[in-house]
Amino acid sequence: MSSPVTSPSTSSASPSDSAEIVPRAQEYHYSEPHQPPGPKQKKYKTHAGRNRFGCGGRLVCSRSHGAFVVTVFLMIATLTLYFVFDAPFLWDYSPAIPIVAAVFSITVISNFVATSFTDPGILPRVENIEIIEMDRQMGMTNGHTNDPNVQRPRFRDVIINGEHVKMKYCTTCRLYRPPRCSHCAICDNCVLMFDHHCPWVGNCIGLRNYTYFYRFVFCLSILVIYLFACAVTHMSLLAQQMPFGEVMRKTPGSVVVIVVCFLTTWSIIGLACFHTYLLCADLTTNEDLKGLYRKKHRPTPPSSNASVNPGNPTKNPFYTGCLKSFAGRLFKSRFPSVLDATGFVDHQPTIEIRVPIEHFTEKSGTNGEKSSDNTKKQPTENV
Amino acid sequence: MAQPPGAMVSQPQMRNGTSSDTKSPFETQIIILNQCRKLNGQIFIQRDYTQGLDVQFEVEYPSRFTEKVPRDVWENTIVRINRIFADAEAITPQTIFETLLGCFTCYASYLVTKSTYRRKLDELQEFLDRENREIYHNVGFHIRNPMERGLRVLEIAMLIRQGETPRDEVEIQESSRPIRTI
Repeated sequence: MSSPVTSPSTSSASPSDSAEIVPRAQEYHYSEPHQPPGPKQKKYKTHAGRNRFGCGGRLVCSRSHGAFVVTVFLMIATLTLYFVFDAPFLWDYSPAIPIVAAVFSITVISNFVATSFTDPGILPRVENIEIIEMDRQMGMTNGHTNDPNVQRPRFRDVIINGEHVKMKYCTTCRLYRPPRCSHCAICDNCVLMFDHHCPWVGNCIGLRNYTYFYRFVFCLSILVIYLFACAVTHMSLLAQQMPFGEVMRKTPGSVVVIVVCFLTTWSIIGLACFHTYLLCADLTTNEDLKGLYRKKHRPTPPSSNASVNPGNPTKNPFYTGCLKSFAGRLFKSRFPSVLDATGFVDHQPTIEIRVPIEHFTEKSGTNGEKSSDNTKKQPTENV
Repeated sequence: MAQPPGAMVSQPQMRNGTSSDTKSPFETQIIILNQCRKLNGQIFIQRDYTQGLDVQFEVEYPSRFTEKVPRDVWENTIVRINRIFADAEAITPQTIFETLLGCFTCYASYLVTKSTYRRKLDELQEFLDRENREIYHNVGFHIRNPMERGLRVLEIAMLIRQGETPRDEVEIQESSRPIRTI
């Protein structure tokens, strides 16, 4: 990724789960946004989370990239060794063998790149003006007064398919997280349909890149088994012609491929199977680890909720059937990025309207100024 | 969508840009949204999660529209917005083909083609522009694209209009429905 831009970080601490009520922060005074002179700034340059951006905001990844580098090195090294040592030998038996490996390799690499550099579904931080309005809607503040003792409820309650779901307030992003959304402590962002933060791909896995991640893991598990089988076949065929010690000296690359594949196969296959189960059950890793929809973690709600939530309190409200869940996650149209990192920051959003001249009149603003000073009038325009 | 009843507009408008009594020609005005928000506030239509995570907004009639926007006009607007999002999120042969094409081209096809969702969002923007121009601007409202709020809420800005005073600083802003908190 060429010349990544590191975005400024705000509070690094993730919101604590202990407090039941969130104190209001003290920066919510409304102030007229100031439009700085000069060229407009891209949104990714002002993004508050801990992310790196590239290609003008088109590529997004995490700042912590140690394991990501290890993954890249292992993949490139193993594939290089296979195509240098094993592929030429197996080509003589059947050209299809290395071609299949090449196809799977390209698929794995493309899905890996897509997973690593796609916005996972980061929710942009909320503007002050929206927070003021939200407080007004809840009837918690009077006008623009800013009493730090006024506290915001920690949860909002929504009913999804007859199940009560709590939308938790995120103190960092200053919003009630949508269902299945969670705050990633590493990236410091709220991510839609947050699955987990994967250090191996160097990014969060969420709504927008889960499909790529699943394809990557699934194809990688097949590729690892395939490379292992090819390397073992290569060495066993050579062992029929010469002593085993000489085979190891002749194709040391095959030995490395076998060792790497053998060590990684179990975890990769396990991960692929686990995510296949999650897809069929319409769960995220985050939900599964927390055990949200298991009986022992979800006691039966009080009888007052019996009409809303009859019978089964442990039901996953998002589950719509195995096939539908699987297809829904893998074959829906690509969800657009709500972060809009490539867009420009607009400190003074304006709209252009065409109305009769008498429709909008001069009004006194907050400082006794005429509001018409802030509206540029253009010449009368006929249809 | 049909033009709203004449009562919603200050004077009936004619094709040449002047009113029927030729006193009120059209003009283009640039409205600064931040100032409108500061003076008048805005209406937030909350997401409707009752059927799951598909993007849908509540269809309840905002009380601030009373006597300005007829209930059926608002319902037509919000139902159409919801239908556009439902179409965008549906699994169709087109979306399956789009996905498979992406897989087979190592996602290079994504660089040169617009996704179904993106096309539907363009359709939504056109629809909102038309609705604002024909209905909502005339009565002092402006519906913003929900993408600008991360698809969490649908924001309706309240514009500064003749004969109206900025809302009292102490007044509690109304929503489409009360927010349930626990």
